[in-house]
Amino acid sequence: METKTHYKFIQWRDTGGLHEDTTITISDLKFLQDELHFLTDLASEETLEMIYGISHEASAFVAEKLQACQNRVEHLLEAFQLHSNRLQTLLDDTEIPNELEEYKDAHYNLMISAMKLHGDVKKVKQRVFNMLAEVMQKSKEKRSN
Amino acid sequence: MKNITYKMVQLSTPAELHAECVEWLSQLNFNDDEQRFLNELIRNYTVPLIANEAYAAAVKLVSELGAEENELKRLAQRVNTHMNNIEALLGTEKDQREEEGYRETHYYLKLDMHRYTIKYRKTKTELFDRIKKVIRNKKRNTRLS
Repeated sequence: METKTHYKFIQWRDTGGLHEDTTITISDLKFLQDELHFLTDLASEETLEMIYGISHEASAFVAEKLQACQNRVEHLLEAFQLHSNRLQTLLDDTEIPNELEEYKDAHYNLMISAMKLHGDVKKVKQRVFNMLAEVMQKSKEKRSN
Repeated sequence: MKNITYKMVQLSTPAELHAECVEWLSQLNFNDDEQRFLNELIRNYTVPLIANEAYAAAVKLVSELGAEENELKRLAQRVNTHMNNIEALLGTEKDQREEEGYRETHYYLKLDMHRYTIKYRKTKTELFDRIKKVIRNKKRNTRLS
């Protein structure tokens, strides 16, 4: 369903619209990158130990997951950047057969990857929330004892 | 942006609009969890946050986050009602006027979802920056002592 909707709109979009999609997605991915940095800092063992006096074994696992997300975001950002630059060649005077169609196919695949990545990161974030909430709860109990 | 959004809503099938509502609700649910986590985070960092020279800014930030939490609840209610209305229409004969009506509703919801997302993101960025500063100070103090 989702996929078809996207495809339909991409087919119908002009180069200005494609450019807009790309710009928005790049800005979304950059925000995601900041968010992941923040969570990584927060969940880092050093911080947890220092602030809560607890060394949590789960934190290493979460850190690894966060790093994996971070890598994916970085790769996708690069791909989008290239994709954005390629739009320039679409706008020049040289006519290459099917170039817009090919560009749209690439666009579609990239947009789907971005959507999937956002979904996956959400799952990891949920884990981090749960882990940190638990740590904070424990620390609260410790303080009140 | 406005016209493109409007056109997209006009060109979507009722089933596609319904799918978008499902997506919004899932996003709002996720944000609800995230907000709970952020509140917990603030409670944990309250003392260093307000001990900071930027007391007024920190208070403002907390109240913004609270306002966004309320907005989230209102939006979720609106999306739910709208989604139920679409569902009711899905199985029935096509009624042009009714369809126009829910497309209008959908369009305004879409704009409000967008506005809310941008605002929420801005607040989160600010909160992240403040907490990062607290962590940095804490680390520095620990090293000094």
